Amino acid sequence: MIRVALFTLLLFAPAACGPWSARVVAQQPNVIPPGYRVETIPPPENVFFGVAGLGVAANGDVYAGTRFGEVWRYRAGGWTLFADGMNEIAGMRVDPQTHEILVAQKPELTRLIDEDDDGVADVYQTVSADWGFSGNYHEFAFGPVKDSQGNLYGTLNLSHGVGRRVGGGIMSIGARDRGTCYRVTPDGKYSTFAWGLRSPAGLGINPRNDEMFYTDNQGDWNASSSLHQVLEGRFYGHPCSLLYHPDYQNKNLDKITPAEYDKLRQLPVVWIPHGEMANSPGNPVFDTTQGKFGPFAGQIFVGDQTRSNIFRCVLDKVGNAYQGACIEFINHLQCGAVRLKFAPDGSLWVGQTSRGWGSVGSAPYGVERIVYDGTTVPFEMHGVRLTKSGFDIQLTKPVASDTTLNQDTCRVHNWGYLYHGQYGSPKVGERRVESVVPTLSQDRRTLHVQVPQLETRKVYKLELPGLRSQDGDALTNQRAYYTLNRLR
Amino acid sequence: MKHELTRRVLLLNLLVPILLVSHSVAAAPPSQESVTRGKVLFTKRACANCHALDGKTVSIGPNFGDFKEKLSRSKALENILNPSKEIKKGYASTVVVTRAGKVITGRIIGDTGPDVTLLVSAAGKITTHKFKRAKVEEFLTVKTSIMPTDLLRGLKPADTDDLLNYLVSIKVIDPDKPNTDVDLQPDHDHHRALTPPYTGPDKRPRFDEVDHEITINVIPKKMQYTVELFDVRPGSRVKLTLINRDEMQHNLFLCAEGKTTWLDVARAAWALGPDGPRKRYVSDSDKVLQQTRLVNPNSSDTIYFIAPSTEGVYPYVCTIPGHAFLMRGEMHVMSGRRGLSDLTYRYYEGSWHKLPDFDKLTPSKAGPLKAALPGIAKIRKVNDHFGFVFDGKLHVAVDGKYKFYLVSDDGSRIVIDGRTVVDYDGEHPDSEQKTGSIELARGEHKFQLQFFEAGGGEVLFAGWSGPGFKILPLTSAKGTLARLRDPMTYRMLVEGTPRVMRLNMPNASSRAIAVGLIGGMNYCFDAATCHVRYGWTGEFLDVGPDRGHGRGRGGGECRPLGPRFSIAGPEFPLSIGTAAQQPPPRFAGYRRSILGPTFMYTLGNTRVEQFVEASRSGRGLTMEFTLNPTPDVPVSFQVAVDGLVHTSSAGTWNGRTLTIPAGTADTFSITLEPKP
Repeated sequence: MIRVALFTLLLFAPAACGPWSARVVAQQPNVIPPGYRVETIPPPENVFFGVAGLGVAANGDVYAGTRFGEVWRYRAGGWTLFADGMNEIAGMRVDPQTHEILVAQKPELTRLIDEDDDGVADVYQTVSADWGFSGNYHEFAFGPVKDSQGNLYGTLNLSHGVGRRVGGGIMSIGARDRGTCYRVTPDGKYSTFAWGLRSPAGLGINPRNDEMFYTDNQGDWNASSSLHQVLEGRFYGHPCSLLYHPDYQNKNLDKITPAEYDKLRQLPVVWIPHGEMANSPGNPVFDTTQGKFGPFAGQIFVGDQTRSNIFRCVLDKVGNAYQGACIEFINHLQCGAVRLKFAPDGSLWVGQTSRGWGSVGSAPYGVERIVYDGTTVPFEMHGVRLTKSGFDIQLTKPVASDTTLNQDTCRVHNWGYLYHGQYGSPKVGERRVESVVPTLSQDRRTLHVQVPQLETRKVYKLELPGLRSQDGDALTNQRAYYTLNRLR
Repeated sequence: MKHELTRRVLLLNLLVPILLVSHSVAAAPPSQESVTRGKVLFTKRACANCHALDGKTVSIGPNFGDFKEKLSRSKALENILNPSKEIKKGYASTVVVTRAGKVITGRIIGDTGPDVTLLVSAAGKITTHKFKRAKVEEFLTVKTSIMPTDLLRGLKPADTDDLLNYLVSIKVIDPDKPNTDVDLQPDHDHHRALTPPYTGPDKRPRFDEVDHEITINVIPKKMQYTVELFDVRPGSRVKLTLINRDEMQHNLFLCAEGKTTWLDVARAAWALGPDGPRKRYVSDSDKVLQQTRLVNPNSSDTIYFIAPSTEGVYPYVCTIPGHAFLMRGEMHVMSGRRGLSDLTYRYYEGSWHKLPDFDKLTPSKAGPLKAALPGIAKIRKVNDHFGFVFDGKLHVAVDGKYKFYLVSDDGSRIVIDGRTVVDYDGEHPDSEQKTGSIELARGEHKFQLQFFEAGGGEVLFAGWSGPGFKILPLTSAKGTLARLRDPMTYRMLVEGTPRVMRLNMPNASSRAIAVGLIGGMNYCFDAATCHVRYGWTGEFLDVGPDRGHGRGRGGGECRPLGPRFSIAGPEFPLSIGTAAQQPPPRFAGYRRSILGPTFMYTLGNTRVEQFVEASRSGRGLTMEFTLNPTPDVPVSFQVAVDGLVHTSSAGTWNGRTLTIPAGTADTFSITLEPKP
């Protein structure tokens, strides 16, 4: 077989991870904060173990749903087959209390019931098959998450190569409901919850307050990968799904200009710069371990398929809306890290696949686990908060007392993105931003960065190249990317 | 069961007293490090495959968390060395022989009503098999533990020490649970970990000249013979060598004619129970024709014998308890020859996108070949842009239909007697398997295999199957058999349990469900419309196109592996009352069992369950419907396609419409078969 042909295929496919991802991604150094280690969980033998659904029960049982439609249970150090024959699992939820197992497969949301408790599912109960599905390979179903009222939510990927395209875009809509977030009530009623999604490859919910977030992948109508808060009835930027929106039934969507769509759309909470942070992010997961996984309790962790890394998203509420920053956490895992779930012991399980879309990690599939040693405090940017005059960067440990702060302590760059139907966007107007020499808080754990002219609709890259902690650690991850939608 | 046993033989009968003494006298608690190392061994030695610790997981072996008392060191060691001495109640293994002739070994974990549930461990995986009692021919309880007797072999004394330290450290989760009874078996020399092989003088027959020389290896850690079929002529002189490269002891017993005589021989050896090792697993079964000695790791044994004069199938098997289900094969006694001979090759260099007409080109080299078709690497002179042709004689032992298999990157073709049997031309990866069949008469046939490589990787596997034999390799490249038997696993077959798979299927909506039943009947149920669209007989499904063959993104339509027959159009065929009043069916899921799935859907307020099986004739499908509540209006069923014979258990047919009177349609079945 000719290798060139394969490469061409990769190059022109309008994939979730981006057509040129294979070129822009350079091999990264291995980054891992002190105190954390990566454990590889051996997959079951002779199984194509592309994990795109992951769930953990209260008793520590881990369920992995594969792209070949199998669900495997990990218990006592070994995998057993729990269910099979489903159509490409891309999401999964195991209830921490009731052990209810829900699987998002392309045609439906399914509840798997092991009636005789023999470790093998007996009943494959349809929870909802109400969304449109043309059979197209790209029509993944992601999720689900459940809110405190018992409503279930999931996101539905757009199609590729079938159905209609809108506004010069690349992705298409092969059946109704593609590119939306749906809700299914406890009594089974299906409705569309949000519109305008593209490749929403992961959905997460904050169990404390029901706030939901999804990630989208860079592509047409999405300048770079992004984290969004899902709010009822909102439009998130990709016009395809509006073809089935009641208010747009009689409108020619091709005639609506990007500027008009721009007024309708909900901006991302966090832009995830393509090629630098992530190219095809998976599900956001809230650190609910209350410190068992280290000093980032309450924050969001997201894995990325292409770059095979995990990054954190830190939220900053300005007015009544979230915006925030992303900061790398661990990179260069063995394979595309599309699914994250915390186990009761506080470890972070990572479900991995690289089928169809290449990844930096070279393994074809797998499962890894990130384990925190419980004591080491890594030197990291803990959070970034917008101030009236710049940014406060919180650190996990005090900065060394002999540190001389200067113009280069925090280098600030910013740029904007285009919003259009073409694939992705270059950084627009990228430049180094003048900033005042930063100052430290009294406890030396917060760096005050003053930026004279803050601009909205920009991504601010905050880089701390030479910072050391009082106990001598270098900052493991030195860059934060803050999305400034609103000024404080 | 997975056996991961290490290197060399260790005489444990020397070691055991030391281990026992060292800890019973010096009762210092074991170090945490030792326990941790032991825990690692517990997993590495495959103990964890069959034993859980949590007190509730049901597995092949007893759950250690379920024990009332902690294990003592001596008890733990004794149980490992002699697993059959005490078999915990309910943990004996059972051989299930189904009416269809399938043989499955496992532990019965459920035996209620019409179903029997068997827990089976194979290749490191534990699966559950449910059987209808009525479909089982025979249950055979095995008195010997399924646990291998040689799990400690190759461990250093310190390793064994660690493992025992870990075992006795395991927490007993449910101390209040009453002690479970044990089935006691007679005591014997349980400290013997290894059976010393026979080492006396060899007085067995030996021929200076032989007609067939067969060498069979044991695949390390796989419990499998490398040769699972060989042919000999009636009354010929045979030299058979068993080479054991595994880390356990093995033997090979040749059994009397018949597909299942191996089971009789294996059972007779197991029935020796605790005497087995002392007797070196030799029973007095009259089904044994020939036998090798017990062969130690990295040793071999050779036997000479005269093949039976009667043509037929003569199985061979390893008689060590538990081995027979994986370690067996067949000797076929036949007067004709089978396979390739008089092989030659022609090698060409050139750049093609399709197989060229090699006859018009000049080979850059050519010559004879020894026995089998060699691997590509042995022929080619350059990495890309070359091709070759193998020519030879194909010997066929009996008249019949033969199937040929090709997996290649790039193009290949098999031509027999001038006729193309398998065509896998063009530039492509080795992601598919192409097959073709041909009727061949007993005797010699002209065989040709063509191949070309454009660029990138190159692969060529070829094989064949025919009356009385499963796939045999034609190419000798490593992995040929594995790839032909299971090409990338995208060729889904029904093995032991029915398949239920939601995939992109032809002639159905995107919510199709493909079902493969035991016995070779398959059908496609469309969950969007809640009815069966078509069936097909034979093998199940090639799912490669929908799964991108594991690499691409997929989304292509799967390929049913047998002739299809349509039984319905796109319309839902069932009506309760008049069709106009009826809401569309709403799919609710399915329940799986060993017989196949039962689909569930609703029609308004009526819950419908639908089970589908092969019709009695095996040509069509019988659908059993259960409606709840029983409709108080007539129920009708419409046959939408031509060429079907329809029958039902209730109601009356008017042309293609079945009507079942009000209040009677609680359960009924409808059979649709293509007209013969």
